[in-house]
Amino acid sequence: MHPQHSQREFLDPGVLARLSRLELQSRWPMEGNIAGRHKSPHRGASVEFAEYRKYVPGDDPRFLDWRVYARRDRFYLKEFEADTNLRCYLVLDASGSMAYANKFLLARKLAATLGYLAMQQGDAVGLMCCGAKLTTDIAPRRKPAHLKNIFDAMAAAKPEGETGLVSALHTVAEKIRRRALVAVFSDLFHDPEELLHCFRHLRFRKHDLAVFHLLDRTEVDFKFDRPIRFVDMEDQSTIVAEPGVIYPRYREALDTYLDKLKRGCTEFKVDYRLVMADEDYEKVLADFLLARMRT
Amino acid sequence: MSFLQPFILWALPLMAIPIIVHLLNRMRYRTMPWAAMMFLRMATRQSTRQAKLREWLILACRVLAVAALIFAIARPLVGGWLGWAMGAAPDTIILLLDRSASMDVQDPTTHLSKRTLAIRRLADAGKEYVGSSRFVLIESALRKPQEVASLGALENLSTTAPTDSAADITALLEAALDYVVANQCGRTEVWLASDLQQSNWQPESRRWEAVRTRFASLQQDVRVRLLALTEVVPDNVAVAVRDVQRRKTARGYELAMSVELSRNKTGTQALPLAVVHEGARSLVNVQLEGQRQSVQVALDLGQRQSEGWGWIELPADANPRDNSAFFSYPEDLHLKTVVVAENDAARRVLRIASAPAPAALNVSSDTVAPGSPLKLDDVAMLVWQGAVTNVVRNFAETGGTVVVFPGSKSEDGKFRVTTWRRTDGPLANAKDGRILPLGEVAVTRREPLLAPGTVLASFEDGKPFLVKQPVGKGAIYWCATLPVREWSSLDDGTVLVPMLQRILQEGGRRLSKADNNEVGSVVGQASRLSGPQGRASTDAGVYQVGTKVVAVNRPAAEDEPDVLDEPAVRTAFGSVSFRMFTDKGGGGSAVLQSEIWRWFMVAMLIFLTGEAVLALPKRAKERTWDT
Repeated sequence: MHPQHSQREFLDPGVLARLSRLELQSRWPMEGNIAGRHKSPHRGASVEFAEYRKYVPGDDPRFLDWRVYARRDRFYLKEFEADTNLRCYLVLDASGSMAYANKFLLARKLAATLGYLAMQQGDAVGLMCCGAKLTTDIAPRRKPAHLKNIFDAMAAAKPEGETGLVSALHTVAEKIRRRALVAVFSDLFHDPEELLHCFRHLRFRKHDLAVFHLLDRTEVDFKFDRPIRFVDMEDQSTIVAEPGVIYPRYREALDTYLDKLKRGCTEFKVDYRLVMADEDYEKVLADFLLARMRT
Repeated sequence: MSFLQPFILWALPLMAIPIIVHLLNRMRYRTMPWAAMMFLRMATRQSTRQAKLREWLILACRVLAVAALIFAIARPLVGGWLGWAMGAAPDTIILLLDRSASMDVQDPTTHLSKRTLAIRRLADAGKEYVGSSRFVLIESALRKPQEVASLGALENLSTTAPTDSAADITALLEAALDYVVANQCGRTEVWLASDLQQSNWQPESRRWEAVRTRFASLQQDVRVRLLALTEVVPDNVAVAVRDVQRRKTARGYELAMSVELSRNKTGTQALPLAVVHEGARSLVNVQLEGQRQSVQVALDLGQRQSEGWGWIELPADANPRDNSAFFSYPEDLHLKTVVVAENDAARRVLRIASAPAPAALNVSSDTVAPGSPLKLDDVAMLVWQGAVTNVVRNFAETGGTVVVFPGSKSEDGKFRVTTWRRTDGPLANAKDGRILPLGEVAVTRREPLLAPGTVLASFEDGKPFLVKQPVGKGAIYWCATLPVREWSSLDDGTVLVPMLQRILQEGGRRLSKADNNEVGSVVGQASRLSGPQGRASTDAGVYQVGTKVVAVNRPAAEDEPDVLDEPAVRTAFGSVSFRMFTDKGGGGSAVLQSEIWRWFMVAMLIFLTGEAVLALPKRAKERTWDT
């Protein structure tokens, strides 16, 4: 399917064309059901040599290395790496807080582009939009036509209500039985302890977890010159505050939160990326893909 | 605490303005949807207490600043000699009481005079020092220190009774200083009560410098508290007789009096003026227009040749002390002048100028050759030209008036008289205000005047033209030039005649049986003719002094309405430890009060500064955001 056929605001054909030259690679072996571009934990029939193994009864004698037998008079099997496809789960946070500035649009751009690239290289792509409760759950499929379902779901998603990201991630961790690439697009405005617990859960299930942490510049800088009544975009509660007065403590809270999150992600080997809402998403994805290709 | 302008306190609800503005500001918060509420909650949870406290402090500063401003404008008064009374009791408290006539102005509501009010205030303030301090009273009329045993009896003392005298405040302070030095007082406080009348204080006088110097040189700790009773009572008219002259008329004699009426308000006012003469009362209706008006009153004396007296009365008003003016007039007296001159031309001019219209003015002038024996018993004025002998001095010693013109020593040149005393004396302006043409007199020769005395006129270069030297009971007038062509143009008579006639009138008093004087200037035993009570030293009236009838009146300056303001008083006291307290006048407050609005202004500035400091936004550290 060509992206031009699906008129989505979060898809840019130019960006897709440029990024198509890059591969989406998993950092850990994946368990696919067909041959693909990703390493598998099992031995397969690729051209890349893996190891020699002693023959044990029951092994297929076709894989015996006869040259080694001729030299050593022992049976050894020559094993090759298996290449397989991956399942890519796109987890899109659709809570009310994502409606701030253009965070949700950026999240959809990143997710859609990543999904398209994965589909292009034969990987299965699924989507989970999570708001207050799981709203959309599309299982991964390899068929290119499946992208339409995903893009339609993305287009239909509206950020509102409280976040259900934590429960969604736990659900994803339990639900996907084989190793998969789980890409999370969220502002992660939740208790970092609970978030890290989710990440650990996903990593425990051997999933390759990539987190795109989306923040707007005003949420970081917090530069306002007048007292403001802040209305929570998730539960509509209000706080009247003088930004000039509370700025130091706000930054301190934000910094503490980010430090904790980054440390946790490093510990659990989560591919964590902090993305400002005004950043060029093409560059963000290019960096993401290139970094994975280098590992 | 009370207030000079209590109606300003109606503005106190304005204190709510900062609160209203604060509430309006709260309502004007911009509403903004926000995603990162978790950090906001954490930040506000920690800083809410501080922010609220700061907010309340700012609000309190603003409210208090407005309140302080309102209180300052309302001019608060604090009683009890605040600040001063906090210290230990002084050893001696000297009460200086201004007993001048102007202090008897009565408050229209309480009918208490300023003098009575001052006495009560002083007594009230002194109560807390009874037993620990010694009280000494020095009043302005006699200026004799008098120890006060009981402050309660202060009001009943004869030395605190009303007088018609003027007050000399510098002399009063000097009397207090004399007492402090003579009695070697310890820590002393001088409590002065006065209405700040400018004529009594004379702030431009050099005597203030002497007073300040004496205060500074004292080893004791002496402080001055001034109770200023400056309340102006609008309804008061003062009467004074400025001039009394007996005139000859076709039918006999008449008495021409120049009566001056002064008041402290403007507008037309009809005033019945009662003239009492020898027991007979007649009314003259006067229409007052301005603040000061001169009225000519003529009294028909018929064929009466002897001296007489009487008084002029006004209806009762705020100050009873200035409602009467006493007068006496002389008998039909022939004023004789003797001219002794070496210069023939001068002799002739002086003789004519001494008696220009002998019949009309009832004056005569004789010339006597120098060196001839003189009989001066009935002479009113001696005009002398040439070297002065003992005859001149003896005549002056016995009360005679002498005018001395120069002899031989001379200095040639062109000299002009530029300054002279125009308010009184022989060179004063005429009654209609016209100036004596002394400036037009051309002097080509003069003799330097070396005699000590009061300079009445002086040349452009500062050298004196006419000097009055008091000698014994009389006086000698020294003139620097001669009324002859070689010396000056005095011989045209425009200056010489009025000058000599005025000196002649002064000399005639010696012979007259009637005189007009100010309170305090009468010397000798005096018995009152114009009523049963009063003493010539303190009370206006008509007195028999020896063979003379003397009308005694309060000094003219007592009718002057000018009052010193606080800066002028502070300038006068200079570095003297001094504090001024004002009294609202007829109010019921029983304590002395001082204005403290400055403290409220200072408080307001402090509150505003505090508000500014608290309201300054905290400058947060700039941080770079590394993604």
